[in-house]
Amino acid sequence: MNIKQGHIDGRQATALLWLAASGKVLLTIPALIVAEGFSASWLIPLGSATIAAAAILPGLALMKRFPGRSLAGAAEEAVGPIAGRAAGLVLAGFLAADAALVLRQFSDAFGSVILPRTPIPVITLVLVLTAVYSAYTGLESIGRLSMFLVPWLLAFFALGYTGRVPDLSFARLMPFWGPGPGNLAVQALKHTGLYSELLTLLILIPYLRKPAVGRAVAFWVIGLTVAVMILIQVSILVTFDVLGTDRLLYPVINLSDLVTLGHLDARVEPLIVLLWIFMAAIKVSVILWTLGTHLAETLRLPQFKPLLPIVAVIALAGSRLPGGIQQTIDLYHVSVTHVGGVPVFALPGLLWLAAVLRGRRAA
Amino acid sequence: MTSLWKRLRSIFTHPKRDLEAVQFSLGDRDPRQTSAAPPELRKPPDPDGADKGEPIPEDLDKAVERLAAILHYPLSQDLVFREITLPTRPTARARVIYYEGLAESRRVEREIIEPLMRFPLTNKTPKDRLPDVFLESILPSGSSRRAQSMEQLVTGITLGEAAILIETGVACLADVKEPPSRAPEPPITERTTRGPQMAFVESHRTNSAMIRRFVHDPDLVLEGYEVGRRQKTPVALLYISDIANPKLVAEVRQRVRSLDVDGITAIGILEQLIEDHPVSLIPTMLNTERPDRAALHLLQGSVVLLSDGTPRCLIAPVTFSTFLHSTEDVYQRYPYANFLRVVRLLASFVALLAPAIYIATLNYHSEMLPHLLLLTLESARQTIALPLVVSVVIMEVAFELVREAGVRVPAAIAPTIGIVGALLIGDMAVRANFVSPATIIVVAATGLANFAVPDQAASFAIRIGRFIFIALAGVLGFLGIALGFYVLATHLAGLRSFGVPFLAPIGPWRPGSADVILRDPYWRQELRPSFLRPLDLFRLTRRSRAWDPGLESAPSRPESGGQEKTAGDEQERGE
Repeated sequence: MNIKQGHIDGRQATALLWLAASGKVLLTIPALIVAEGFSASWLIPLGSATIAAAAILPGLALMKRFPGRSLAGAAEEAVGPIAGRAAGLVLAGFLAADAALVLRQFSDAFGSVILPRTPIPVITLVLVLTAVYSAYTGLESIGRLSMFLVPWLLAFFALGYTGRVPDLSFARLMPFWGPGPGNLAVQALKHTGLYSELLTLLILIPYLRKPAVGRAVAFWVIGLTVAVMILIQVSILVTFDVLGTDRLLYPVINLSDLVTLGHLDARVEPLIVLLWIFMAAIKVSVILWTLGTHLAETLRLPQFKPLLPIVAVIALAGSRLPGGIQQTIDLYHVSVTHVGGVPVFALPGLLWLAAVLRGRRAA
Repeated sequence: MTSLWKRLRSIFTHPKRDLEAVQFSLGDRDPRQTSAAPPELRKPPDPDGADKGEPIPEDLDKAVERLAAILHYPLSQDLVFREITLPTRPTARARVIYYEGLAESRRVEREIIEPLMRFPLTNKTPKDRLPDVFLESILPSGSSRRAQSMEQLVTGITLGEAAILIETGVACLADVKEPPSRAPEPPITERTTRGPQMAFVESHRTNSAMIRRFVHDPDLVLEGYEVGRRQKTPVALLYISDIANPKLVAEVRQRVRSLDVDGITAIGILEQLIEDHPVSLIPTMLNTERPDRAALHLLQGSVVLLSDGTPRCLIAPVTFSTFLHSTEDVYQRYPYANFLRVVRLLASFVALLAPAIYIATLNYHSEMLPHLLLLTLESARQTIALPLVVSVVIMEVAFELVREAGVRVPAAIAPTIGIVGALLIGDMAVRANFVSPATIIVVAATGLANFAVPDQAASFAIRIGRFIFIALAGVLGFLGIALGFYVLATHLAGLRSFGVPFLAPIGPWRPGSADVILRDPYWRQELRPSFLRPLDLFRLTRRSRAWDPGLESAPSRPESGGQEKTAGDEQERGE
């Protein structure tokens, strides 16, 4: 019954990771998935979720094999200090790329939708400062805040979906298999990076009050995230069709433009954006916390907080590297959505396999 | 260069010390904190209050001389040294020492000097029994006690007691104090229409008696402490021993006893010394002037602190929702109370965000407004030379000035300030094209909403926060407001009040409490707040309405003799 300081419970972890993972639907992900899955694009997140649910098991087994150890520590136990640390740095690199690209996309989205006259770097700076403060207050605060926000965000989704959207047609979901089952399966495999937040789960397992709930948290996060993604994909398809979506950068934001509530016309859109900002802030805060914590553990530093300004600067600088938003989107799609499965699932899986083969386990 | 490198290195290699890890939690006590506390703080308080200070000289003249030196006599003109001769055989000299005004002269005469003069004490009484004879047979006051050190004598005298020194080596203190006090009056800042019309006064003894009038419970414990090296201000810690969590009581006791200050003159200073987050905008202790509110919190499992000289008390722990509650809520019927709470919640949002939303809407997101309204607002702004943000800030500052001036000026001219303020804000500013009428409406509504916030400290936090949100809205519109709100929410989520997360029972979720933002009907509030981890979780059972046949099958408290349900059990399931 004791509350361990700086730790969160399973529900908080689920809320936190779910919000972070669902934050992706605000970006260009839905449009990119439609471009690859056509009318059956809603099946891609479903297939990816199934693969992710199975692929995370070796990672969870690794953490179970070394209870109380961080992911970086478990990697060192499994393959030795040098290879383990190298693996840790690979994961840190992936998290840094994720942080930079997500930051840039959110800044661009907010800039284009609500502050068209404000320079994007200003928005990026404000967003990263907010996330640094949030990450600095610690996992416990972010976890509690996520729990606090979940009902409001659910209310937002309910509000959005009880509104009136013109020109809906469920016929746009046909043909059911879109590009074909085989092609869909390949796309599902390629999109396991949609659940890259499961890497955060592996890193925060030592900070769970009961680490044994890690597997349940993973399945809940996958289940809830896939529900949101399917809902969004279906909504986009029945509203814009495949060809219409192809012309949109942020289809969810465009979707909210069309939602009318009674006689309010489209005037609630900026208010809905408020809730999106919360999701974005949580997403960036979680990435910065994860990156800072993982880097501190990999480098065997006792504290992660002094690293936060450093990782923030890395993310900020990284977000300015792509030449434009289209390049950012392409990079994100390749490095996180497509290749993300490698660091999130394959690398922890290989570490687990190495630990098993070498007979390494916690002393 | 080397020292710079060492300092940089120390940032990263400092022993692991997470800020959260050293915060006190009701659920877990950090062993490092316990070991860091001085050993004497871990001991239970000495019921006699005896300490091993400077001994009282047995020789009367030396004792008097020492006391006079400590109390700066004869420089201190209000200190009285009464010399009397006891009618013993042979006669004995005695001195009664007290501060005139703090101790009541008539009581000194009637309760100390007269009995001493009349009592035929003989030398047959053994010397070591003399103090007991004095305390049991001579001094009628129930609060008389034997003094064992000079420190005790001095503290007693400065608190209004009379010291009695007899040449046989006897030293006693008799409580004859009459500090300046007044009769209880109706509350000023926390008025209710249905509740008791009684507020605390300056005497902490009267205040504790007022609380006992509401809590007729033998388990209501009052621990007394003296805070301050010089001032020795009496502080009382109240709790109900079979409800309040012992860890909470121990934590409050430790914080009060570990204070090393000159003294405290008011409970507001004590609050700043013992609260968890003294630099935060958000208060983490409740400061109330109502004894009935203190009693209600005691019955929930909180602790109450009283300090002599302050007509208010402190309550801890508190959560976010506490500051939206009013005592009125308890006395009103359930639907009315919830309506009032919704109004207050709305008022809090308006007070904090209305000017910021007004600025963000007009400057950045005008598409939110209906066209006609937008045209009206924009046409009114055509003649205003100042930018919207500046005009709002000017009006907010003017409003704050009027409010502050209204508090400071003598009551007789306070209405004048109101009239000047109304003219300044309402009419002249518009005529001078400083602000538009819509700005006046927004600022006035904001000020009005601020008065609806039931707690003064929360109201201050909202007033300051409003200016921050105005700045954010002016620079970044809704993005600024949203990010500011996110930072505020993160800050709230990171706060603790004596081990209780500030956003409990919502974040973290703690089931059971039926009195958070809204409240259930009183008869349905079976459990005390589980986040306080009370020893007795049940406040009432559904059988409290035993006459109601519809509730017969409802689950209820275990029968006496069965396993009592505690907050710990509930918590375990919750996690």
